[in-house]
Amino acid sequence: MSTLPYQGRCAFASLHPAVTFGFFAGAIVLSMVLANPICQVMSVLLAAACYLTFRGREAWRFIAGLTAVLLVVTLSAPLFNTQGATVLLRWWGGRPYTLEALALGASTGLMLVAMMLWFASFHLVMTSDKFTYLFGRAIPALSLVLTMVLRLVPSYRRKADALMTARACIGKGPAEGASVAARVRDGGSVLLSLSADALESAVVAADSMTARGFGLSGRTHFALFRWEARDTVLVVAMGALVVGAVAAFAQGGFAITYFPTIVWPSAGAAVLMGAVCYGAFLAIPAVINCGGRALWRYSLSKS
Amino acid sequence: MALFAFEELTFRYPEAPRDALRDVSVAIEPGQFVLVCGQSGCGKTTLLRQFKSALAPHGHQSGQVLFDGVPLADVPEREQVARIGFVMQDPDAQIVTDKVWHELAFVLESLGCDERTMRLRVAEMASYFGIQHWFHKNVGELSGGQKQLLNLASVMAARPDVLVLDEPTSQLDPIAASDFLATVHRINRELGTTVVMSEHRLEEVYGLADRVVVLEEGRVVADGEPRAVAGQLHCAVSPMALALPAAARIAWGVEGRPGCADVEGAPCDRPGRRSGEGAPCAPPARAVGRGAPCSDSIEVQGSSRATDVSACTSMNCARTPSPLRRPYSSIVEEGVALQVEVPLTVREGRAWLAREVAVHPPRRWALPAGEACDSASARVAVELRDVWFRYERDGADVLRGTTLTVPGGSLFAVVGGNGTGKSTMLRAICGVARPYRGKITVLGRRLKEWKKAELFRGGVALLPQDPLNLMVKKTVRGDLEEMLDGRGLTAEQRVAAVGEVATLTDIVPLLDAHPFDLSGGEVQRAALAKVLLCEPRLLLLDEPTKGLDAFFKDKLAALLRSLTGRGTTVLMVSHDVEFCASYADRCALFFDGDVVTTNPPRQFFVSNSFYTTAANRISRGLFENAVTVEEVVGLCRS
Repeated sequence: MSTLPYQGRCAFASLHPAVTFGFFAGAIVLSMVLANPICQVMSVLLAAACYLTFRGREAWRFIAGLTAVLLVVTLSAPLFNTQGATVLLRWWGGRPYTLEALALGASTGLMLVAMMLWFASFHLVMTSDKFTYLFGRAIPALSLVLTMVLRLVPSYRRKADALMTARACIGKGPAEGASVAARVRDGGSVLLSLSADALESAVVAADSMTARGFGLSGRTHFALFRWEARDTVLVVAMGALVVGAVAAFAQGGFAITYFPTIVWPSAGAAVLMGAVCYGAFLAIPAVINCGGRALWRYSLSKS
Repeated sequence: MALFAFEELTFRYPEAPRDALRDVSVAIEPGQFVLVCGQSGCGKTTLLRQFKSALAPHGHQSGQVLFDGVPLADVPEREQVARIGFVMQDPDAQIVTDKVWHELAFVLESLGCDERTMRLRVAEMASYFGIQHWFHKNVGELSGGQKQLLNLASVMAARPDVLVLDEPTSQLDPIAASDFLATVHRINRELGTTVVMSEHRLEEVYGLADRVVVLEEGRVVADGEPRAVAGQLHCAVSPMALALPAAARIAWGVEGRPGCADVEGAPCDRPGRRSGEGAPCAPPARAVGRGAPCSDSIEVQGSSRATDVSACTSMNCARTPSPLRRPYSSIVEEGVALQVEVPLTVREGRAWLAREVAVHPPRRWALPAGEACDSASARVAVELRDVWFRYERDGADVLRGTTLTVPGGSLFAVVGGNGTGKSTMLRAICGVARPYRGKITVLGRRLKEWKKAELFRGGVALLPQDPLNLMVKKTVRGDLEEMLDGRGLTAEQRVAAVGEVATLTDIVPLLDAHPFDLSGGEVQRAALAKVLLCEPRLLLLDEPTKGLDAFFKDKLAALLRSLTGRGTTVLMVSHDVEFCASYADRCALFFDGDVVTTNPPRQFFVSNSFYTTAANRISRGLFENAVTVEEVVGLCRS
């Protein structure tokens, strides 16, 4: 599980989990629904800005990788889709490579990249404890299982590593196994040992849980999160912005057709308002993070 | 009324040939610190698990367990959860959730506390145990010591009346272990919580407990005040006496068997001892309730050596909690006069020794320092020169210019703190961790020039810190035979090879057992047998004495001696300074990814003042160059 670099640039992560989750749910759903290129470009740029404010310089590598993805998806789309009136060039025995298909490819690529960026930020901010806090009340048993799984998966991985290293140090490592059959047999015995070990620790964990009263009736839930005034403010603001964007969408302001030729929707005041609302909504995490840093500098300069 | 009372408790596991507990009658008063000790497999864990119905093993049981006068089985589960805390051996497996703060709240969640109460209790626990700095961390990021502290804190969150701990420090390194023990002691002292704890490493905890129960094959063989029990163990020549604190072993070594003589009323062979009063073998009833060693009856002897003692480094003495709030120098002077009983801590040991040498000045005050390491040894088994290694590209260097030379046929010990890179160095010698700079020469050839198959057949083998990691088959025999695969041996040769190594490591009766069913000492020997089937000329051991009791340590030492006798080189990494001092040929201190110093053990430990044996800390300033209990005893008797 990746952890946030430091608290200073992550003001958004300190919000109540419900607000955080609400934002990401909204951003991800709207990015899928609003398939208009302008909306998509906004979504990608603001998602990248959001991710950058969280990760700082380390984010650039990921963003560069996504740019490559975007290019590949865009340029290869016309290879599979020959629809569209404007033929840019012909290849492989006269197959058309059309502008419309290219535009649709770009749109698909943008949506893909926007999703990946939002999910990357989501993954950073919505840590396991926030997740279990949100859904634990609804499904208590499941939330504990989830918490335990989150703990056990990395611990099994560590154990597997330890086993492999221990074996490598007596000349039983995978590199030394001459034949494939021997390697498979070797891996099998390691896996068996790993599961035996997992069972052993499961027995201890079960003992530890019963010793600490797991299974008594009336179990409650503890969490560190508290609802603050700014959470209320944000929820109201987010709600209003989403309503604005959805209203514009409902009026068909964002509809676009690619084939046979690209037809843009007529830009009315409602559409413009919708786009502005959408942009403002998506900018929330980046603004809060930057604002958090500015606030910190400001309060620092006063003291 | 006793808080916990065991009345003639007898317990037998289903289909077991003999009782795991037999006629155990122990009454534990509120606020006591009870230490349960005994050799591996004596029934410590079985006994401790009887403290909680939810953990009590299934089997045939007679006699009863009373908690606050009520049979434990009739105490509602909720009350047991809240009032009886239990900490187990394995720091990792006991943790249930993935966050530190969540783990702290787990028991409170079970008990159905409301949020406000939980917030307060969690805050209290985190503050009391010093957890606030890693409160938000994932449990996977914690060290072993932190994990065990978290287990303790998350049990204490329910505010139990009794805290039961089953060998809680056996998986920890000495520094983390003594921190943990100090915390347990603090809980007992500051909160009045009754503590029942089992341990095999007695050096430190023995002085903290105010009552000791010794089990042997499921029976209580001694029960009472630590000093009295120590005397009983010594008189009975119990193998447990080997595990007692160094101070006590020195005192007995010098005086023969004083306690027994006193009980029989025989005249004391050494003048100056106040016989009768200090008889360690006195029945427990008499011994319990007697005050701390420094009572108020003071009889200062004008001793020339006493001043030396007061000049001793105050750390040695400050390590043990002082029962008195008086200036340090006066405590030592009184201690000199007051040591009428067997000493248990380093501080008491120093006072005892100062008095002893004042009354009976020995002829010799020093042992020869021993020759310094001559690096131009005839044969070199391993040589590392300026080795640099790190695990991740952006990570910190773990080995930082490590340079080490291990002479062939020696038992070479590397000591040092946790996380300094000792284990990584062993992996580098195996070629599993590849250094990015530097040169490693193994058995006269560059590591890079070795073929893997050759290196691990008759070359190098590593016994890892957790020996269970090597055991992957259903039986020990299967694991041993796995090592012989691909060598083209006939069935008879295989059986012979397994038989030979099993005899050598004394695991013949265990060959058909599942590795997970073995005790810590047994699995250590089984894994060692497996490693020995590589027929290594260079044997690498990572913490071979971790979790072993004193008895098994002696066995291991004998085995290592026989190996080095045959020309095998043993390079071991250890926290166990006592073991290294007694058996190693060379000791090296590892710090910050490099070897700081290498010397024969005597020179090595004498020049350290913290990282050294208890016997050395006791005799420092009185004797020169004495490192082991035997050496101190030898000098006293000269």
